[in-house]
Amino acid sequence: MARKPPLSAIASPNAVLERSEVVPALIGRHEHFLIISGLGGTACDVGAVTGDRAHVYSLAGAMGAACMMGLGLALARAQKRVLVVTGDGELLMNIGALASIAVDFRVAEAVDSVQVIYGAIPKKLFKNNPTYWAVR
Amino acid sequence: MPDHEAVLHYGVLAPAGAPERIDLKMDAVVEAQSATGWQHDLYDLLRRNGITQIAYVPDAGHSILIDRSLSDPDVHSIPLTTEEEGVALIAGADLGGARAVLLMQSSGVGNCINMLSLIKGARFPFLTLVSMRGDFGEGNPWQFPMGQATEAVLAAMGVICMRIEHPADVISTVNAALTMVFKSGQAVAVLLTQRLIGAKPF
Repeated sequence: MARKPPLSAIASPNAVLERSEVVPALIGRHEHFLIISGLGGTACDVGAVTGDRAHVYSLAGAMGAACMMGLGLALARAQKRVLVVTGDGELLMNIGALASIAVDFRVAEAVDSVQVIYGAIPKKLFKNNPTYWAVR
Repeated sequence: MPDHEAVLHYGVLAPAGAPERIDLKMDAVVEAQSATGWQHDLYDLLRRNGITQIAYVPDAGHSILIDRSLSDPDVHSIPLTTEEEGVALIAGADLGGARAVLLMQSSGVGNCINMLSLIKGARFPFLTLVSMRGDFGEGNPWQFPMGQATEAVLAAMGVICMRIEHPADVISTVNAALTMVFKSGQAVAVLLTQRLIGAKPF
């Protein structure tokens, strides 16, 4: 079981965030979103927050699909906010999706409603590399 | 709006001689297709059947469909960095209750293989229009491996293939495909063969 580090330790170079705490904190009220979740640990993290609900679609395969599914969903449901939560590997497998999401001016409306959080396995959440976390 | 007046320059290296320089107009490619107007009829058919998202990797074979989608205020026109993205996009659109179509060249089909497991595994309705290369009269040797493998690859992933060779068959075939996809929930690829769209000069 991971011990909660004291606040003073968070700023140290070796501090590690606990995904099971950070993911719920970042998502907030999950009912506000239509959620697409990448596979594996990410799906577990999201499922722990939301349970098995109609506004959540979790992948257990099709690695690389999450972001573009989020875009298709956001374009279909313009009044809704879409949240994509995925892992770094799943995102990297289709990293061009971020360009496809951002490129078209008509998609700009949807960009605001497609947020991407991604994280690695707990040991690697922060590794002197801020790109391991990206919240848009 | 993509500039179809742009003149293409490219050098073709002959194995035993000086490089040739060929000037082409993209219009020459487009003209061959617009002669019968079936591409415009095809776009109207897609719209009548409620397609609101059109995803594509830019391709001359689909230029009229792409241009129509770009100028259509009721359609989301989504350029992709790879065709694989379009497969996932279609699934996401379906989750939101919208209908999407993926326009790609046969060479892009190979980029979709694993992502098609999303369509088959979760039984998403899926429609793609594929402009064929490596087919009748193809002059670019690079197009043959994937062009000749297109049907086999799609069939292996559970996608029904329907070939169109003649302009007169376009509307009826795509109409049938739309029913198979959006009424029967199937995955269908409509192959626009080179007998229909002509062989590209490059």
